[in-house]
Amino acid sequence: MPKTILCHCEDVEIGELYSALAQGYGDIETLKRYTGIGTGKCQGKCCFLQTLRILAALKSGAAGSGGTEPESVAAGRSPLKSGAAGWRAQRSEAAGSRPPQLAGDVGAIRVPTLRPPVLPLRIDDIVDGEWS
Amino acid sequence: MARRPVIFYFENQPLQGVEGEPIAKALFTAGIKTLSWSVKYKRPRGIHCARGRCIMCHMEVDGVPGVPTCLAPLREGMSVRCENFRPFFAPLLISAINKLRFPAGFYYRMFTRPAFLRTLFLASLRRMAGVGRIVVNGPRPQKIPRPAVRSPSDSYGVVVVGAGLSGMSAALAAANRGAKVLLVDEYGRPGGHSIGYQTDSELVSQRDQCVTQVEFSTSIDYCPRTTAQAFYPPDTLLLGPGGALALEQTFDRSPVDTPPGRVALAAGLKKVRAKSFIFATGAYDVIPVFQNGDLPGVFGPRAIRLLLERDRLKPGHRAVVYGIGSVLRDVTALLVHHDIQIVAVVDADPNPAGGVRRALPDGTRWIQQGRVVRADGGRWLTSVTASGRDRRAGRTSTEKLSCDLLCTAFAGQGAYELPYQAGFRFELSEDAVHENRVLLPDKSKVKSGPVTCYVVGEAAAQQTWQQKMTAAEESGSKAPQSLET
Repeated sequence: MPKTILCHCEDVEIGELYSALAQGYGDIETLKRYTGIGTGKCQGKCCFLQTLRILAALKSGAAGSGGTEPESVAAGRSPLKSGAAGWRAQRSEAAGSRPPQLAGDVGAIRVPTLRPPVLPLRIDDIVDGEWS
Repeated sequence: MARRPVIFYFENQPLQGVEGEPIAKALFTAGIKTLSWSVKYKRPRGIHCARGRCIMCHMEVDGVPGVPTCLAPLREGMSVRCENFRPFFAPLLISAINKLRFPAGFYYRMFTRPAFLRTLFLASLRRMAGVGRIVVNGPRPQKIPRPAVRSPSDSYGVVVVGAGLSGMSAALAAANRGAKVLLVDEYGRPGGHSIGYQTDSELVSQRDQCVTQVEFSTSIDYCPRTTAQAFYPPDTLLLGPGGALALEQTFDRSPVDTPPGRVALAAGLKKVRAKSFIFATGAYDVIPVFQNGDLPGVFGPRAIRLLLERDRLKPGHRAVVYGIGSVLRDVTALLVHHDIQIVAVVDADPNPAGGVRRALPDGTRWIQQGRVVRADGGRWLTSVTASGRDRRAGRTSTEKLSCDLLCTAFAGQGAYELPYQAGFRFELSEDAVHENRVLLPDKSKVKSGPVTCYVVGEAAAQQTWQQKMTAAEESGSKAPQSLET
């Protein structure tokens, strides 16, 4: 059965991304937690950019993921917000088979700010291992 | 070095291979193309990125789970297994699972009720998804000995991560300014992805010149097979074993005497401090999203170059090339060089007057403003459905092309992880062609106190090698200046 797999590690279909977007999970960090995109063994090396591209394509109004039409990018600089009003309205339409129509003020897509790693030790407290 | 034929075992079935070649290549030559099965839908997975970046070729080798077989060298009597859960009724189960559709966030809702069955559900789901087993009690798997790697010192003037064309240029430029330079690279030989460009003799000669200069330079410490694991601002980089060696090496704790209150790193890990860091981390292949795009037989531009040039492995004989711009041109030239029949070139350039037709060999089927919409096949690719404007027919059409290889040729995803830790932020380029949109760093350098970090090469989305070298040399010659002040 043909499937359009976006994340190879976690087997996330593109339809799952669309339905998550329609349910209001709008930024990459929330999408990671809700769909599992980019949380597999390769840690997003294969799917992260593709997911961002799809988000950008949706924001700039191009339906579908692989359109070759030139598109304009919405002006503005604010990153995507989770549960933006435009998407809430689409919640009932969580069919998951076609890209949701995004509305509202959405700006440039950027790599989100991640939390700094929580380390039990400071790097200065760690001494080198044996270099073999 | 003479390579001798050896016997190894795949699921207890003896096969012949050549010692030292990647395990995945030996399996491919022996006719085994399915190396693992995906976690959820149990879709076939074969060799894919050829660089140990993806998980498609991970297998259990001599009891060690998760070994990237596209890199790990073959040895006499090795036992190789698929990692996933494969009961005797697997074919039936797989066809049943493939018909299912798990909605987004299914694991928050499905298989959670009734509560008393939850543990059972979890355990069986985990087994079905399962990748790999570790023997906890019993003989430890034998470690693959690490080839002798020069141990780096504790501190340097400039540390360059990545020994591709950009990394080498930056290291050489910094060394010429009198800095003490450390050049680390994950893999066994320098050059990175600047492999498989026979058509560009200038690039090849520049690369070879850089490799020779790096190897003979007295002020550059070149550490191959070493991964930069993490960057701890402001000035510490954590180094560890690289590539296929990473897993075997970090199992054991080393018997290092530690002062009270301090902890020793696992064997093979080391901290390095420097005044300047240059990240030339390169890029990963990104495959466009289309139906069955995860089928074995679909490759990215870097993977196909590595397979054909480094491994001397021809993954197919009839290829469709799908891409845009110079990457498309280079990949097509490489396939032609290796006598792979080009079924069609699907040019994604949206500009009706654009495209790389002039650079293609005469008589090549060229689909303009094209797009691959679907791939088909069972265990391996057998056909590709592409839509686009066919010049011969002069109209837009969708067509099924029979082939056993699909090479995609788009810009990759810059390896932004280390630069990110150093304080760079990335944003999608506002490229009109969204399939080719790339991550761009917001600035060219980050300064915190006396430490300066630069990002160069493919990680900074520089496309042509001339651009990469110029930018790398510029950063490399600027880097030692912060030492003087």
